Order: sequence, then C-alpha cells, then structure tokens
Amino acid sequence: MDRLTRVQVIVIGVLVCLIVGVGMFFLLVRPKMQQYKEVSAKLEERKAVAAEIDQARADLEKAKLENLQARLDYRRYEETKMPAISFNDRTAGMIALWRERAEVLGPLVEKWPRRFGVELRNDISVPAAPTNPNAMTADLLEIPLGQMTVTGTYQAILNHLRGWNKFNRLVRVDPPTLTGPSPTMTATYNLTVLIFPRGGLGPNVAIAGEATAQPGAGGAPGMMPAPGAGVPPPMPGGPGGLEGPPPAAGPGAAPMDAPPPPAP
Amino acid sequence: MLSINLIPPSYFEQQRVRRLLQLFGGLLALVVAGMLAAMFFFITQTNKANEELAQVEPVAQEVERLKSEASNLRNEVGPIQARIKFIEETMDYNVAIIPVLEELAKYTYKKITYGRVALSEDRGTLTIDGWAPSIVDAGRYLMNLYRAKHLFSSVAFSGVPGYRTGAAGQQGGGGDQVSSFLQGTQLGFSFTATCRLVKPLTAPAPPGGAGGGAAAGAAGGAPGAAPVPGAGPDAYIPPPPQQQ
Repeated sequence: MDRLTRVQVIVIGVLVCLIVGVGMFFLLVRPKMQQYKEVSAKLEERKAVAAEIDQARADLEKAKLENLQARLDYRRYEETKMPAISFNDRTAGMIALWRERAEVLGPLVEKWPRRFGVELRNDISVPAAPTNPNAMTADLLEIPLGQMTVTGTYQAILNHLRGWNKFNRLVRVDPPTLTGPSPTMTATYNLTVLIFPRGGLGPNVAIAGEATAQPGAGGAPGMMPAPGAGVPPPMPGGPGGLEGPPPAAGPGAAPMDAPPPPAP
Repeated sequence: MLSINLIPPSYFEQQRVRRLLQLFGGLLALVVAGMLAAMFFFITQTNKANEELAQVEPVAQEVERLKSEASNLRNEVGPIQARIKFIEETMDYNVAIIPVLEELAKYTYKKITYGRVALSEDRGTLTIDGWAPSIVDAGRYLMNLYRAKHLFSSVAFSGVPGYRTGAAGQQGGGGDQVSSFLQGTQLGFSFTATCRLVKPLTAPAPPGGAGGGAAAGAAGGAPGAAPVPGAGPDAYIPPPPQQQ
C-alpha cells in the first residue's frame, strides 16, 4: 500500500467506484426500476379501463335497449309480413310452405290490387314448392310471382304501388313500366314474395333412398311425422327467432296443422 | 530565522495517499448506499403500485365484463338487424320509383302526352315515349326536362323532325308519322326521351349474401345431400324486368 502513488490511487479509486456503481445499477437497481415501470404502466392502463365504468354501464344499457328494440321491430315485421313457416321441423315447415304457395299466396295477391281501384289483368301463378325437406334452408326464400299487369288511373296505380308495403307479406316490387295515357294506364312490373323462415334449421329427415341420415334425423328411414304436427315455434335466440309463441300468421294464412304427409 | 523541514517528502506522500484512500473509500460507500437506496425506493414504489393495482383490477375487470356483455348483445342481434335493414330497404325500393314519376309529372309540359314510361334494366335510365302536338311544345317539354337537374343527370331526346329528313333516324311507324306531319295531314309527332337518373334505383341485397340461391331444392337435389348454405330450396333471383 505504501508503494502506491497518488495517481495510482486516484485511478484505482475512480475505477472501483465506477465498476461498483455501474455493477450495482445494472444488477440491483435497473431490474427493480423496470419492474416498477411495468407495474406502473399496467396500473395506468387498468386505471384508464376502470375509469370507463360509468360509460360501460351506460353502453350496456344501450346495447340492451338496442337488442330489445331490434327484437321488437323484427317481431312486428314477422307478425305483419311473414307467414309462420319454420324449418326447425323440416317436414312440417315444408308442408307449411306448400300451403303458403298453393293455397294462401295466390288468392292474397289476386285480391290485393282491387283495394286501390286498379284491375289485375293477368293470372297469378305461384311456382310449386320444393319437395325435399332436406333441401330447405333457413335463409331468405324468394318466390317470384312473375309479371303483374294492372290497369287504372295514374294516381290509382301509384297508390297501388305504395300499397304493396301494406300487404301482409314482404314483397319486392320492381319499378313498373307505365303505358297508355291516363285514365286507362297500364302498369307492368315484376313481383317477388320474400319470406324469412322462423327459427333455425332442424336435423335432416331420413328419406327412403337416401344413403344415410344425419344423427338424430328423426328416426328410422321412412318414418312419417306425426299426423297433426304443427309448425314448431321459432327457435328462441336463433336468427329470426324470438322468445314467446310464434306470432299469428297474417290474414289468409293457412292453419299450420300438417296434413298427412306424402308417402315416402 | 531559517526553518528547515527535515521530514522526508515520502512521509507526506504517504499521508496524501492515505487521505485519498479514505476519500475514495467514502465515495465508494456513498455509491453503494445510493444504489441500495435507489433499489429500495423502486421496491417500495412497485409495492405501492401493486397495491393500487389490486384495488383497480376488480373495477377494470367489471368494465371488461360489461363491455363483453354489450358486445355479445350486439352480436346476437346483428343478424336480426340485418334482416330488418333488408326488409326496410325492400319497402323503400318498392316505392322508390313513385317520387321519380311524380317529379316527372311536375316537369311535363301540359300539352305532351305520354305513351310509355319505363325504367331500363339497370334501373338507372328512364325511357319516355310520348307525343308532342308541335315542335314548339316538344321544345318546351325538353327545356323542362333539362331543368330537372335534381332528377336527371343527362337527357337525350329523339324524334324531332327536320325538313324532309324527319324520317331519318326514325324506325318503324315513326317515319310515316313524321312524313304525315310534314305533309300537314297529321298534327304532332312521337318522340323518345331518354333520361339518366341522378340516383339509380338499386334493389336491396338479401342479408348474408345471395339469400336463397338457386332453385335446386325444387328438383330435390341429390338424395341425401345436405343443403348448401345460402342455396335455398325455392329461392330464385329473378331476371331484371323485361322491357316491353
């Protein structure tokens, strides 16, 4: 020690202080500092989230209201514009669709124009419904009724066009072609009936000749649905399905007691 | 008086070295103490932050739960809202032509008679076949149509006769009509006005794509085949309305 000079002591002292300081900083202080930073950042983030509690509560209430409003709106449309057709039970749904097409829709459409003082000049024909219950879908059904030709005054024709929105089925009326001078004008347009089936899609039905049915598809091949089986209620929570009993079909809707099914 | 320091310089050098050693020893202790203090400071702060975090966390979790619930409610009702939107758009589409026809009536000169008014297949062009009693009336009518800028983005007019050239460009009976007009045996002439709508009518798209799909279901499809999503049994996309 006695041999050390001042310069050597200064150099060694400075180096030792630096090494110890830097070493302690990196080994002891820095990890704790980083830990603190992480916790602090997380705290800030969570505080920001927690600060939204009132907004989140209000948003939830709004979402509940929107949900309820949408369901009510859709229910209103279902009650006023959709027949009670559901493919939760495919066979019953298919038969309800047959009735809708064969017995209900045609007369309804034929009678409608007279309410507005126009005369329907063509016969209504509704295409036949499909016969394979397994080909049903819960998506939108479009039933083209072809071209409609009505005659009447200009105003009556416009009223008649407006009136389709009050019809108890949802229809799409393509823009008409007007011919002839008033008061005996003729309007020609395409009419399509649009139906949203209620509820979801039930299991496939076992059909004779088909290789296999899906599990739980309704029993043995060739099994008939129970006579008198009605259209099942809409699936709660399913697309288009609302809680509660199925709304009554619009005027003219067929009773949904299923007739004896066709022989398989 | 002369004083002489007989102590050897090495003695003082050792003293200075000793002092320096003490100084650096103190400095080192200060560094160590400072680092330890910093470490404990951050430990304390971290603990405080953790305690605060523990208090905030349940509230934040509650907020997340509320948000998730709201999101679920909205997702759940999404398909229903899509259907409602489609229904309402369809009902709007059904009557969309009526304001156009009513506006057209306002801009129609009283002496003009319409024979046929039809919308094109793309539902963007209104074709009007009519009859004008004179060239002046047709001109007034055309000027009116030109003024209906909120209704039509462009107007084309055909059928105006020239001098002994009226039949040119006319097809079918139009030529005879213009000839008789020129000869004074018939008053007026037929015309066709083709007006491009500012807002073409657009049929709403079914929710979730093409809606029903082709009418494969009517034929039954392949026995045992599961329904193709989006391909309805009886759904049918009709062709655009045919022009007569």
